[in-house]
Amino acid sequence: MKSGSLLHLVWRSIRRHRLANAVTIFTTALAVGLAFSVFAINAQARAAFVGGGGGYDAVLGARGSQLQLVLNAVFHLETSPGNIPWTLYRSIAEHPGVVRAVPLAMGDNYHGFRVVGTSQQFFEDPPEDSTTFVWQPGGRGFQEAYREAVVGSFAADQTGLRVGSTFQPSHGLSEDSDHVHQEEYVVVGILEPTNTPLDKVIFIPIEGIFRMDGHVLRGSGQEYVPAAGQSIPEEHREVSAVLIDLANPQVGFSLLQQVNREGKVATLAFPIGRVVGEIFEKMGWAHRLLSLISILVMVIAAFSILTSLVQTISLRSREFAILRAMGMPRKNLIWLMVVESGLLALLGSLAGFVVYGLVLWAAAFLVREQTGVVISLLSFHPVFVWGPISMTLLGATAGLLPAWKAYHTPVCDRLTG
Amino acid sequence: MQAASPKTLLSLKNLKKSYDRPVVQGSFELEEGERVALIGPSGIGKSTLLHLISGILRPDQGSIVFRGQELNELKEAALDSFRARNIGYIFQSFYLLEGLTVLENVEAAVTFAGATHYDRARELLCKMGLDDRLDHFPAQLSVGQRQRVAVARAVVNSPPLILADEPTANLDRVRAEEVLALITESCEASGAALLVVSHAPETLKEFDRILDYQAHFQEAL
Repeated sequence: MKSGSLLHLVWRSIRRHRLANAVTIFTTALAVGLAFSVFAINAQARAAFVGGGGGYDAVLGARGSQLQLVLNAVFHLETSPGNIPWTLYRSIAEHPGVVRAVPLAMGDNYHGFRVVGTSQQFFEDPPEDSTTFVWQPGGRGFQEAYREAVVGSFAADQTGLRVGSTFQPSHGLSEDSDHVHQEEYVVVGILEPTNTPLDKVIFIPIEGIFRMDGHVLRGSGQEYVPAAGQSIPEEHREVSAVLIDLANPQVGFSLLQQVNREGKVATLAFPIGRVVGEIFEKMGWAHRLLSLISILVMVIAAFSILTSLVQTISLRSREFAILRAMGMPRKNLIWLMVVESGLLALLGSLAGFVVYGLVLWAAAFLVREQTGVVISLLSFHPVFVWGPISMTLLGATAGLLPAWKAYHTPVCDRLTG
Repeated sequence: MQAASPKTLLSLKNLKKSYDRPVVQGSFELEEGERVALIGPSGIGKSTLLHLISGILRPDQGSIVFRGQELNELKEAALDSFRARNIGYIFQSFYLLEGLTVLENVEAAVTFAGATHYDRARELLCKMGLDDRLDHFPAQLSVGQRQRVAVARAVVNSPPLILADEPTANLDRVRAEEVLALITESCEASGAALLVVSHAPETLKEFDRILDYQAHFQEAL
């Protein structure tokens, strides 16, 4: 950089007033980091939830809300809308357009982590584009005829369950349930982290849920309490939901018509991504409000740049006069201030990435802890381009007022006395 | 417009500048390489005259001809360029750019003149004994070192005219004589003409002419 060039003078000025400028840059970084967070985290959370179907295309469950059904069966949030007969599960599983159908039965927990009954197929034959299950050393899948359990990585970390540990599920989904089931399960496998809600789940054979003490089956419409040592007739069995892998989307639309419009017993949620996307559509107004606030904060940051520069104008008036006397064109004083304010905004924007990183890290931790969904730390969002550009332009615009003042600095007065 | 004689560097004719009262009124000529001191009390208008010569201020009336060029005909941008190339300014209190290092202060003058002889900036400073202070900021320098930087900055582009505005103000007599000696030696080395305004005539030596400001520029008042 040539001494006396515009950029050199700007850089030296920023260095000279580094304390005040550091505060300005920090303020701008907070503003830009907030904008990054509002736009990018929303997009990434949406992508993580919408794409979080685990490779399954649809969920079949009790009559009710599709969203509740997906949140319960896929994300293991919310309560189950009810149960459907086992026979319905069987008929779906045998549908020629269905590649695989996995039953789920819910309603118990262990220290707040959901205990979900399912079949071996869930682990042994997942959809092609789904999560790959990897066992931690010494682990394996459960055998359906035994009281064995497979534990998600996060649940294992939090509960201290290890291969060989035993536990007794509690009734209901709440940790403070006072009904502890008598059945004792032994952990035979811990899953490596899948970065999905499955990390927060404890899986047992679905037969175990049927036979848990206190559970009553109503698959036939009549109450049925399984007896030890006797098989449970299919008509009495029931499931909370069925995860469905379809051969192609047309089958899904056909089943949607068949189950939701013509049937009265069950609900089919399809496609899972669209259903989850509804949450974000419904909360769109909140996102728009936050977006507006974050843009306003960026404008406020631009004003802080303006204030900072205006405050230094009187201190710098002699500097401007000396520059003019040395032959620097007067219009360059305008560029000096505009480039300086723009550069401060740009530096603040770059520092905004650090703020964003911290916010994203905290948000990712919270979202994962609450839902098991993992937000990508490295995803690109257009705000990373237009945010700094907008902030830099705003900053440069904010420099116009101090530039005007600098332009009109009385040179002669400042060079004498 | 009558052309100035070949040896005349600067010609002021019927120059007039007023604020609430006339502060500059008169004519004056300065030859190439000539050293002239203008003396007079503070606040009388001496600095204003230098501002008019350097093109920072426009006169109300009269002409300023520098090497045959009428400065009044130049637009502001051209005047800025003229000033950077032709005039070395030494300010009262030596005003340096506090955010720039010693070397950068002098190099900036080279940049403003549109030149590239940055090596000369370093050479000059080294010659003035500032080779170990090149990367220091003005606030880290002694008064004497600041004076030398200011002189180096004024002469680095070898301008034909050096204007010095009260360069010895606030200095004791010994220091004032040192500063003036440094300025005159530097002008002599580069062949530049020197116009110094001062209110302390006792320090002025080795000048071709020492003129009374009031007699020359406020003659009709």
